[in-house]
Formats: sequence, structure tokens, C-alpha cells
Amino acid sequence: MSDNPNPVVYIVDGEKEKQNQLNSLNNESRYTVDEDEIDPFDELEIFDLVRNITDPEHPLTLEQLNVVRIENITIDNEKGTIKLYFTPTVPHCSMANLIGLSIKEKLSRSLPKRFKVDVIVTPGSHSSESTVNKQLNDKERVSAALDKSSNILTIVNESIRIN
Amino acid sequence: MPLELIGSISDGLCPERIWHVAWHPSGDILASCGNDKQIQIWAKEQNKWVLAQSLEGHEQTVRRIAWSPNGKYLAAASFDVTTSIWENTSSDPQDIEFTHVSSLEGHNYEVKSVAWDSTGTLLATCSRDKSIWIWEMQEDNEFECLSINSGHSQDIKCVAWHPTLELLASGSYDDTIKFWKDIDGDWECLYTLSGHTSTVWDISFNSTGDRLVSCSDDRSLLFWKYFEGADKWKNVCKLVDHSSRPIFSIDWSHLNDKICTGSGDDSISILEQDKSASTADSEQYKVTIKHEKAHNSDVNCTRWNPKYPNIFASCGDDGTIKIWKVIE
Repeated sequence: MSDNPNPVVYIVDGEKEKQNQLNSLNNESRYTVDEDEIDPFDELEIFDLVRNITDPEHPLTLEQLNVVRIENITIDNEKGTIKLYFTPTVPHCSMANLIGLSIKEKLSRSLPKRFKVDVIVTPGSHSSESTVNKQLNDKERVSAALDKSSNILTIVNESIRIN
Repeated sequence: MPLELIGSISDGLCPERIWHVAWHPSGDILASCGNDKQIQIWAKEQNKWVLAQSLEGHEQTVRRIAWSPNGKYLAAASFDVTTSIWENTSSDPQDIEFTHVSSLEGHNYEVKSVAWDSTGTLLATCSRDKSIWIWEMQEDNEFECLSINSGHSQDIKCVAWHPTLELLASGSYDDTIKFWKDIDGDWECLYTLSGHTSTVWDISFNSTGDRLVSCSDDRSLLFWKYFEGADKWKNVCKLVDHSSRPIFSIDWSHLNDKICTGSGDDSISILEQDKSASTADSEQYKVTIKHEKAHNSDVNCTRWNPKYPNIFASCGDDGTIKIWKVIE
């Protein structure tokens, strides 16, 4: 039985799509020939990486479910830190760990290693917030959960595949 | 006091993430392990570190490794729920030729850490299954489980034996440190140290075994001292905000009492006790070196060379092993 059989589906803003395209154009013009120069990332690029991750229960994206929002992402290129708050659809969502894990894995596969990524439950949005945050923050447990042959890895791959 | 990089191993043989490094008691051999499921043995030839042997057999990540005190055996803790034992079967003790001699099974989940006691007869393993197993090595390389200890309420990250006594310390995801001892044939939890507010990643005894230092996900270092009269371990120093990220590694040199730490902020620090500012109940430890960007990613392990003072090795998520020297 699903935790949230009838989730609210948010209409994905067409303007945002346009903005994205513009942004990627701008990015291209930002590319330099100097390979040593570090190309900075912005919030929109991070959002682009996670918006199409699918929910483990519904055939919907995290953006459509309003689990991830661009305003809940902060990036500091200088320090190499990214903080992303995600909001489970319901406060007792048993999939919160899995969703957080998919976001983390998607970002760690896509971004250069210099980035430290913190994926955190939006404060007040989940009944066992601190447990979920501690688990997601433990890189040893995350790495064990995603070790080969684990079925968690299969689910995570499924969730992040369409990107 | 600066830190000088005197050696580096990153020639593509290393896995993506190196979890742990361990010095052979001779100080001339180094073992490493990581998420490529292998154990690598490195030996120094002239001024270069070369791969002497690669030990394969684990089906998943090898998390930690430990040399027996005589250097003849190597134990490896793996996420595949087993601990493997390897013996150097070469007739020439200078040569490296490790053979798999035993596989310790019993834990239900990932084995996180392994440690030999000072005599080399007892081995402790700990796991995400919240238990600590004490094994005894028999003469024919067989291992008998003497005791299964539960008491931690979560995943156990690390175990460390007292340098001279049959006393074991453990650090856990439940934020506590526990001490274990054989009392009339049963291993019991003697003390529980609370003070950290998040996961205890690593612990280390000083050379005399009357101090223990711990590092944590809460970004702090705690120094504990044993008070014999009260038969208690008490916190005598707390360094908060030692790092901006979790601290994964700590090691107390038994040669000169220096302490090294490795952190998720990519830095390495060296600490020393400020004896003039310390009293019996309260001690001061100060950072004498903070080396930023020691690695290009999280530093997972820092370990002092057991024979040559001021030399230590580090490894990290950037897939490199580095050898450092503290210049005094």
C-alpha cells in the first residue's frame, strides 16, 4: 500500500523550461579553452540534474511532486559545497530515505568530486527527519547500500535513469 | 611546523575510494583497501612505493585492515559480511607472499572494522549488525569465536584494543564509545562514554593506554582519561569545530604522542598536548598543523608509522595514498 496514494501533481512551469534552455546556451558560451579553469555551477544546473528523477512509487518526477525546488538548493562554488533540501510528499513517507539516496547518487555521479553534497529533509516536513538526515549523511552506509547486487541500487538506478 | 609530502601512490592501481591504510610493524610496508574489493600491499623500493601484492577474494568493499603485532598476518573487514585472514607464507621474512588462510563468518551485515590485541591472539570485529565478535586464533590458523557482544544500539564503526591490556574500545553510530572486558569468561561492557552528539568514526589509545581520543560526525574531538581511583573514563578535553565536515580518522602516535586527524573537509591536522596548560582534570590539546587540501576529496584515514617518528600515511576518496612527514 502506498504512503500517499493520491499525491498532488504540480504543473511544471513552461517558463522554467525556457529559462533552462537559455541557461544552457549561456553555459556553452561560458566554456573556455583553458582546461584548468574551473567552470562554476549554479543552482539551476543542480536543479536540472535532479528534477527528472522519478518517485519510487509514482510514475512522476520529483519536480512534479514538488519534492525538489530550485529555491531549496544552495551552491557555494568557492567552498565546493551544495546543500539541497527535499520535501517528502507526506510527513510519514517511508520512501524518504530512498528519494534522498537517489538525489545524492544522481549528484555524485554527475558532479566533479570537489563538491561536497548535503541532501537534507526540509525542516518540519518529515516525522523522522533527523533519522533520515543522519542515514543520508553517513557516506559509509550510503556506499554499502549502493554496493553492487543490492536491490536498493536497482531501485535507485531505475529512479535516476531517465535523466 | 609544516607538513612535507614525501610520497604519493596514485598510479591508477588504486580504486576510486580508498577507505583505509595500515602500516606493517616494520614501518616499511603499507597495506590499503577500498571499494575495488581488493587489498593492496605496498613496499618501498629506493624512494618509490611499488605494488608488491594485490589480495583478491572479497565480494564487496574492504572497509578496514589490520596487521597482527608480529606482522605475519593481515585481517580485512568487508561489506560482504566476512573478515578474511591472510598469512605471509614467504620463507624470507623480508619477502611478501600472502596466502588466504581463513574467512571469519557470522556477522549479519557489513563488517566495519577489525583489530588485533597486543598479543596477537585475539581479534575483534564489529558490524552494522550492532555486535562485536571476539575471536581467538588457534595454532592451526583456525579462529574460534569466544564472545558476541551486544550493547550498542546502532551500527558499530570502529574497534581498538588497549595497547597492553585485554581491553577493547568501540565507537558507534549511536554516538557512544564502549569498553569491553573479559570478566570470568564473559565479555561485558565496562564503561559507556557519552559526549559526542553524532556518529563516532574513529578512536585511538595513547601509548600507555590511559588516554583515548575520539573523532566524530559532530565535527569535534574528545579526549578521555582513565582515573584509576574512580575506575572511570572521563572527558578531559573537548575540541569543538575542529573541522567544517565530519572527522573520519584519528591516530595517536605511540612514538611521540602526536595526534593526526583526517577530515571530510579534505584537511589533515596534527595536534599535541599543551602540558603547561593541562591539569589532572582538564587537559589542553592544540592544533600545531592544519594542512588544508591534503587530498582532493574526503580524507578517510590517517595512520602514524609505527617505527619512524613523524611519518604518517593518509588516504581518501580521491583514490590516492600520501605519505607525510612532520618537519619539526
